[in-house]
Amino acid sequence: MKNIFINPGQLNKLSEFLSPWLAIISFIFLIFGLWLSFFYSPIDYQQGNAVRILYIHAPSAWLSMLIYSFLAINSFFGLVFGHVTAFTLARAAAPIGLTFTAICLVTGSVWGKPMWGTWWVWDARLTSVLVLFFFYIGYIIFLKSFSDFTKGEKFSSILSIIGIVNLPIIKFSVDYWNTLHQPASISKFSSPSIHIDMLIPLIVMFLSFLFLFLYILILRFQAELIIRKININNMKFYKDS
Amino acid sequence: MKDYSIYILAAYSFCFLSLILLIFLSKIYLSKSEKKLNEIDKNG
Repeated sequence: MKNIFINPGQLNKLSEFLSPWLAIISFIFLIFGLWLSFFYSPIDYQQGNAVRILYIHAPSAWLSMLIYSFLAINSFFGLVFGHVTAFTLARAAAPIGLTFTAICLVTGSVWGKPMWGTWWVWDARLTSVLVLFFFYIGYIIFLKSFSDFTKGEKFSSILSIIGIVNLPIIKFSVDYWNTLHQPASISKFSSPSIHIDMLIPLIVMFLSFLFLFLYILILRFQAELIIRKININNMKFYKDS
Repeated sequence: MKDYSIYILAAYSFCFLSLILLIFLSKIYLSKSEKKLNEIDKNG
């Protein structure tokens, strides 16, 4: 089992098998989640129908942090142990994490306008998520900035490991600072301050996004593996000539 | 109760259009890299 995750070729074969199944599962969860969000979930007594925006906002926020952790852990394994698979997985995950962070920021802003009366405030939660967005952009820029792709990988990996400091800041920003953003309501598993009828659509939408992430990750992993092969070939060619 | 349809529509449209675009671009990225590899294999 250990070899599957270290050998990129074997992981690629496993990915090819998993890819269609992940797409199907994600689609089923998405249809069910959308039905729950629009027809099952009750109208919030304060937010009205605007609560339905949170069924895409919160799952994308969770995923933006989860994908960043995945990216940073893989970057660490790539840097320390020189695992090609880890580097490739990190490269593949970055644009997906960037997209989910953008979705989180934009949907939050669209929700904030009718609820808070403003598109944006520089409070601790919103600003720290914006910083996360810039860490993703920085990672991608560093990857593309070097003619020697291995150098780019090393610098971007270091940046992503530094950026992990931002994750607890995002998580606890609503507890330590006086923010306009509401405190955590789901992560308190002992007593979540959200009604079960609203919790179920949130979880189903999260699962749908999670499977979608895995599906896109596989697509990009396969592409990055091929690009790596081509880059190594090119480097050998230039060294020989 | 206030009507928030325009905000809901804007949020869901942005979300799903970005995800569709991401899948589309990832598929193009994969097929282009496969083409490149095939060309290199052909040319030796």
